[in-house]
Amino acid sequence: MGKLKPLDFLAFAFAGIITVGSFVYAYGGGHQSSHLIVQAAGDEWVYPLDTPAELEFEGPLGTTRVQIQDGGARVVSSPCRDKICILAGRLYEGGDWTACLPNRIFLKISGNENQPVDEITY
Amino acid sequence: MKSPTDRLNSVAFLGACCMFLSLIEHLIPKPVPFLRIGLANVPILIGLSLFSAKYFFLLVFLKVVAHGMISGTLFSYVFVFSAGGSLTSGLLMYLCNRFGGRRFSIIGISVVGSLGSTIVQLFLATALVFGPGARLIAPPLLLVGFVTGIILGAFTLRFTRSSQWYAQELAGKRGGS
Repeated sequence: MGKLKPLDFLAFAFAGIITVGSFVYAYGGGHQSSHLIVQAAGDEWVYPLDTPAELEFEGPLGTTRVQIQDGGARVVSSPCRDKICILAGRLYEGGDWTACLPNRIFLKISGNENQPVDEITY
Repeated sequence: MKSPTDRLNSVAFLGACCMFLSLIEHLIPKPVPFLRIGLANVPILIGLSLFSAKYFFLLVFLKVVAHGMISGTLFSYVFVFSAGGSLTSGLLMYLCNRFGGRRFSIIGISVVGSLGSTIVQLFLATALVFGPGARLIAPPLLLVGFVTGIILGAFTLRFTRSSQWYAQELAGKRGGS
């Protein structure tokens, strides 16, 4: 085998960086882009999940309180009867959702398409 | 001394080698359609130091057409990917050889060409067919391109050092034009 020359190593380093970078870009870092989408009273709001916040939404029955913390969101209190929205717990993965139907409020997590694989068929 | 006709014969010969190697490559099963070894790039690497720009790019053109004929993609959208990748890689390798020839070995040039071809094909795939989802196939393609670039470059290096035919061609170039 012959000798490698200086620019060869530059080419290898460049190719290596691009290859590793593509792995990170394609398969990693998906969790930072998640957002909470809230529909209430005919309007729609979008909040980033990485900023903690206490939110209040007015519905036909009263005020529903939502808390964003640690990259997830949950309903803290709601004036409805069944409290299903509160029991849904913390929403953090893309596609997670809950709703308070009596108070006409809908919450959904979006932005993260890297969901775990359910099933693969060939 | 080599006449222009001899030179053109060499281009034609290497172009025919591209066609043959495309056929060999076509016989090798691929796990995923886009993962290719790129055997047909070896004659191009060999021709890099032998030809002027005009004849070198004629060889690249022959390779693209030959590969399209063998793989049956000459008149499909896949041909756009193949042509775009090969022309970019040919241009990059030509520039590397022309302006950095003494500080590059053929292995480094081969890696640059492979990388350029893969990146252009990914951009074309994103723009024309698959959209942003194309990024998911980028890592394996780049990795395979990197490895095959090194292997094909290493083979070419061995070939150019031991082939008498190559030595004659190279001497012909220096003596002739």
